[in-house]
Amino acid sequence: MPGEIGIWVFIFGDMLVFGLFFGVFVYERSRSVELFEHAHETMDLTFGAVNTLLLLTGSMFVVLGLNTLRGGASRTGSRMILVTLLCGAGFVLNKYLEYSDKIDAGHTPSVNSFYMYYFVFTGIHLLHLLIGMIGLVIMYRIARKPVLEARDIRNLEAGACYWHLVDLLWIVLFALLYLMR
Amino acid sequence: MSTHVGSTVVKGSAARISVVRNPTVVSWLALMGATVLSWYLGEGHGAREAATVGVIVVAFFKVYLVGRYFMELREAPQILHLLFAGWAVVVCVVLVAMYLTAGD
Repeated sequence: MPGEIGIWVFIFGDMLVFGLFFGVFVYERSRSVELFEHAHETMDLTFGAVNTLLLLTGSMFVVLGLNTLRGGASRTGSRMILVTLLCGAGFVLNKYLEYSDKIDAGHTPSVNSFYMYYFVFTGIHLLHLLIGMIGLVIMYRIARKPVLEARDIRNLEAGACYWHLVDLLWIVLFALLYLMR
Repeated sequence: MSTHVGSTVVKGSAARISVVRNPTVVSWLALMGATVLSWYLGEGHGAREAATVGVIVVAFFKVYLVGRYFMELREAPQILHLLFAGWAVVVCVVLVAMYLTAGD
């Protein structure tokens, strides 16, 4: 199994919680379709799409890096983890610009339930992403070791799986908050 | 000189083939393509209901690809793979059903 059982218990626990979040959002939308559709028209799809592309690209690089590091310590492997970290930083910058844009336009969490869910769900996701970035820094330090042991590889796998969790949760949030109409 | 150039070309094309055949790169290409497709549907193209159902289904297909190829579930114990795929199918079906019955 990639990583250890502990990380998978956490991943499935988190997926269940987010599954509930997704259900609550679509249920609330079904109760106030007009309000949600009107609020949705004020969303800028480009912000969400760019962040999706950044996370997918980061995820690919962490897999390529991990595969390289399985063959032994390598500068290329650690550099690929660094590229993923840069993709994560790009996501944070893009989110900052988007939040600023929304707040400047008066779309704050207190305005309506669409924006309340938007800020709460993307905020919780952003917290996951920041934790994932700390994980990537730790992974980068491990990847720079001159010799990698089996335990190091397991830790790298666990960190990578957590990063992919951040990616897959965003894929659904992007569909529900930005694309659903 | 010509031998050197020849071997460089062979090496280059071999590297290109290995990148194109790399399942990680292929899944990334599929995920990028699926993102562009759902972006197109979300921007107002296609009938509203069908487009949204398409957007949700494509999103969970992407989730499955991330699990299978990036999280390496295809090589993990089957129970892990089944739990993951089960979550994706159940949440996808529930969301589509709630969306389609909205306002009933």
